[in-house]
Order: sequence, then structure tokens, then C-alpha cells
Amino acid sequence: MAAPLKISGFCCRNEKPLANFIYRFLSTNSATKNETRPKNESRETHFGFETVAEDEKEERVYEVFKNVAGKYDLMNDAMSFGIHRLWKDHFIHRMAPVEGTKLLDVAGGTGDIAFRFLQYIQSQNDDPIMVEESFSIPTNIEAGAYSIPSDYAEEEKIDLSGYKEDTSHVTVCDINQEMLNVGKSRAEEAGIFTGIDWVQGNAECLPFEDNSFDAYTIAYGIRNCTHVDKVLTEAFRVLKPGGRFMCLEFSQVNNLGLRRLYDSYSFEVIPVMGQVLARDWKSYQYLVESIRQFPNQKKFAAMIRQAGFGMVTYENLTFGVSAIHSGYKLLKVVK
Amino acid sequence: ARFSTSLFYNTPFDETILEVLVCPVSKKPLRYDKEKNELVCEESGIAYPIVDGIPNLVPQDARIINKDTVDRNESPPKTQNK
Repeated sequence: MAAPLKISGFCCRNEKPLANFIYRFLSTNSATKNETRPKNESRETHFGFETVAEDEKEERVYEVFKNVAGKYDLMNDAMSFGIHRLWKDHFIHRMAPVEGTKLLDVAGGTGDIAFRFLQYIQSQNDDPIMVEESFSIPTNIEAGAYSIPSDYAEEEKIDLSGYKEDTSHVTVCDINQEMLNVGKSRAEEAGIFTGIDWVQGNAECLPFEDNSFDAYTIAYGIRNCTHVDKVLTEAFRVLKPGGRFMCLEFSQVNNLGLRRLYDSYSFEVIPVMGQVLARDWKSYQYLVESIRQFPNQKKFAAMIRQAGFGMVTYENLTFGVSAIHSGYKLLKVVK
Repeated sequence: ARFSTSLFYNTPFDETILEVLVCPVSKKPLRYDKEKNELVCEESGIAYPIVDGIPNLVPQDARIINKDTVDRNESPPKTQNK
């Protein structure tokens, strides 16, 4: 790896010769490839700790998610010990969506946020005063607004997406077809047929009109995008005035002692887990490296303000391992 | 377990989504071409495929339409990076 490690010295890969050996053995792209790259490369960016041409990053990220799609949910549970579910639950709690919200969930491939959004609103409708504290993705939703037997739908040719002015709706947009397919099959398994749409698209160039959504979410997706500023600008464009931008992403752990623990867990355990559970070391190596390359909480908040959002705030989850950033498209744009 | 994409082979394309979708390049509404199973933007002269009931509106994956003949042009429209 040509790039210097941007983490504390405790977790230097050279200290763990076995992990290092396994990594080199399995790695097909190598530091030498970067050294022989022509110096007149127009624009470069990071892919984990590696430096790549901007055009290449999108393709490489696509490959990563194509490879992990099948085991994505399993790996998320294994790596975070199921805590990612709590982070996502909390994220939706913070959003506190109301009936009639039109949500655009970007990079939402497998549907975690979309399903929670629908479930939250449904539980509000059922029981407006008390809200269930723990949400779990249903494998089997009881008959209700969002569950229509498929044979009924075919016969009557009803409007499956239910896109009416007053109903809640989520459009899931992801650049990766494999991830969307997994999401769509999970929806069908859960009996969710209405209120959700699936679109393949690029977050930097969204196929939606200006001012068309009440809320925009991007969970654990933005750090994989080549041009984060373009993603933020597009988010601003498609939101209605007064609309809310929310981002859930891995961030920086500020407490040094915890950071060391987190770093060694990230670099020593996660890629091995990836190899054992998903037979894919490299993708999970990329994952942990990409987290380090992403701007920290304050810097990212500044980027969000730069895109035009106001009332930008952030909240740390689990000591900063994850963070929720939020901003609003205010009617008067103040830069 | 992975679901093979053939599971969605007969998934109909839900046209109500056209109420929100536009061409990412021109931001204009799209026309649904049932025969070719594509979403067409006349203005940009490109057509987006629908795969397993999910429309693919990534500009690089679009097909450039030649008005005279059906032209399976490989190169993506250059207008993505505005």
C-alpha cells in the first residue's frame, strides 16, 4: 500500500505478520500497480488507502457492492454485533416521519432504511400515542396498509406503489443492481408491496425533478461516492424547500483509547471475518479503509453547509463510530 | 440466500413511478416504451433500460438513440459531468 496509514501507530499492519501475509496473498491489486501508473493522471481520488483515478473509483466501488450484496446483511450483523440495527432504528427515530412524507433513500440498496420508515409510519397510524421502542425488520407483516396479496394485485391491476399526494412513500435509489435486487426480494418476503419504489441511479446525477421530496436519506453510502460535494448538491436540488437531509455514516472516534481498540478491531478482525463469512477479504479491507478516508464529523458538517443546507447538526452514535448528520433546505439560502 | 434475478423476470414495470422519474441528464419526463422495455428521453436522444422491473437511470448505462436506425451505441452520453 503506497498511502501512509492515517490511523494511530498502534495498529500498524507490519506488526501482525500473519495478517499481513494473508492480505498480500489474497490481494490482486498491489502497490506496484500504482507506482507504474503514469504521472499525468488527470484526477485522482482515494479508494480505501489506495489512490485511483476518479473514473476508476466508481467502477471499483460497484464491484465491491456487487460482490458483497448477497451477504451484506449477514456481514453487517457480524461486524457490528447487530448494533447497526440500533443505529438505523435511532436514525429513523430522529427523523420521526409523519404520514404523507415522500422520502428519497439514496444508496439504500437492501432497504434497511426504507422498511424502517414504512414501519415507523404504520406504527404511528396504529397507535399514535405509544410508539414501539424496538423495531425489527419484519419477516412477516400483519395485514394492513402495506400488505396486499400478490394475486389480488394482479387481478385488479391496482396502483401498487400507492403514489398519491397524501400517502407516505419511499423511493429507494442505488447505483448497484445487485443491492436493489436483494432489497426488492426482502420487500416481497416481508409482504411489503406498496409505498415503495426501486430505481437504479447515480447519487451524483439523480433522475428526479427539483423540489420533489420531503426528506432525503443516505445511510452508509456517501463515503463510497466519488464526488461527495455533487451528491450533496443533488440532494439539495431534489428536496422541497423545508425538506430535510439526513445522513448516517461511519465517522471518527475521538476518544484515543477507544480509537485504538476500534482500529485494531477494524483492521485485524473485520477483513478476516469478511474472508471467513463471505470469502471476500478485499471488500472488507476497502470498507474499513474507506471509513478512515471520509471527513470527520465537523468537516462533513461544513460540506453540508457548503451545499446550501441550514441548521446543520450532527449526533455521535457509539462514541463516534457512526454519526447522524442533519440539515434543512431552508427557504432562504445562506452560505 | 441469494435470489437469482430470474425471480423477477415477469415482474411488470410499475408505471406510476414515472410520476417522479425524469431523465438524469436533461431532467425532463420520460416516455415508457413497452416493446423495448425502456424509458426514453426524446430530448437527450437516449433510452434507459428496465431490468427485472427496476428502471436503470444511470447515464453510462443508457443507449443512445439514432433516429434513423436502431443504434446499439456503446459509448455513454458525455453530458453526465455538467
